[in-house]
Amino acid sequence: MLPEHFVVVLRPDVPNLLRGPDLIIGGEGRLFAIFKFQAAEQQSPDRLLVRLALARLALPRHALCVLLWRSERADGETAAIATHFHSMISEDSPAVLVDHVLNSDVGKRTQQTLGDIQGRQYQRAAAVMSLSSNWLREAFPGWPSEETSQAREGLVRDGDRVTPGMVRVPIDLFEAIHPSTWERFQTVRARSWFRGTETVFPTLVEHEDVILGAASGARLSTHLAHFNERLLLRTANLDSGVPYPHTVTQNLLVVDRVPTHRFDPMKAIRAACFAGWSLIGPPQLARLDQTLEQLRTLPLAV
Amino acid sequence: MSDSKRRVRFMQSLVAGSPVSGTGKHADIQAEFDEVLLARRVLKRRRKRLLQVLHSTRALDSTLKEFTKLHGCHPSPPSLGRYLYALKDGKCASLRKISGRERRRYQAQIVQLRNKYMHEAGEMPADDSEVLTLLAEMQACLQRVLSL
Repeated sequence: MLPEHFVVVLRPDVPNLLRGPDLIIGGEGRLFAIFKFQAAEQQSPDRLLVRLALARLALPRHALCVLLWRSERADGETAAIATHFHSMISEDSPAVLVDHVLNSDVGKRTQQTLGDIQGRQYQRAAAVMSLSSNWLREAFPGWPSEETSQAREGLVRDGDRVTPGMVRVPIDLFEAIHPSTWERFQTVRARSWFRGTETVFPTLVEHEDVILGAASGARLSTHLAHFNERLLLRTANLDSGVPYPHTVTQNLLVVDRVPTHRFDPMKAIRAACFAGWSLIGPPQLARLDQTLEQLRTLPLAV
Repeated sequence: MSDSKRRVRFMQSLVAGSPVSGTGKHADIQAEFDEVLLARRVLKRRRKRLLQVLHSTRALDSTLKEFTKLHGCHPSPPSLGRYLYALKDGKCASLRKISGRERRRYQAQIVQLRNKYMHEAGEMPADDSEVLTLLAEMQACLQRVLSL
């Protein structure tokens, strides 16, 4: 058992993460973020690494990240993933975790490089969040003083759900608004597929230094995990769980409605911006070159 | 665990896992957070929300005070707004700075709101979601500052 003055939080609500650690333990100046494979991560371990990477950027840098693993997953792949965590402890041995928390002396270690990366991430997030808020206000008049749950008329012409979290939309979502835009991009995600004249949310396309995603604002929380995976793995190298950026891209996410989150209206927007996305609506997509220019010239540290 | 409890407990874990846990004020700060959770039981909603704003901002205020003090920074007069300015202006030499944009956001979303409810007669949070939003902004601020 941990002493009473240690604070243990199951599924903590981390303000700039939609999917944070599974457990946080804080006490005596030490902070631990505990992760275990979630259902989707069993199939796609990269998702766990992306969750870890964003948590490392968000949490104080002395936080120690621990992977809880089950003995049946003790294979080479798990061992490779474990190298990104500070330590790996079997789920079957809670006493080992307690001992680790009480006796670990590396919890106060700080990491200079991580601090620099974190600082840039937070400053950029604040800048793009401010810009995104302006863009969303323009795209969805009335927000945030009133809920804007419906897309601009005509944007989503077919709202039939084909699978949970995916909304069918006309492929000319891009073409109709900016005819040259669509031709410049190539679809890279397997989950973006085409059916005749229609495509399916979520869509992610890339061209040179631009990554453009389309998502349903109502399902952004679901779509974001998928988008973040692509964005982070495309733009950063992961070393010991820390994402070291190697490529600068302009990342736009066009939404059909303002994303909301229960009891924290800004959470989905905050999380998207922290992960590196700028949110736009149809008007900003229609003038894409200008939008990208605004993003490229955005001052960060002011 | 409810949304507000997960937020408050997360802030408590951050403080307990920070250098502030070694200061004489740590127990008082944690007690303020506990009061935020206890206030959920108050039946009169307006009073409950006001108590939640009061105790949560006192906890944040004291955490920032202790944290900046640990880093050799003593803004005068001590106030939440002054700590944020000190962190922006690099007055705490051993810490990285927050940007002006970040400071303005915390000022608008936390300090001004706190001042409105604490100093103006008749002003109350309109509903529970307003308090939850304030808690979310405080979480973000606390997490950011403890990451500097």
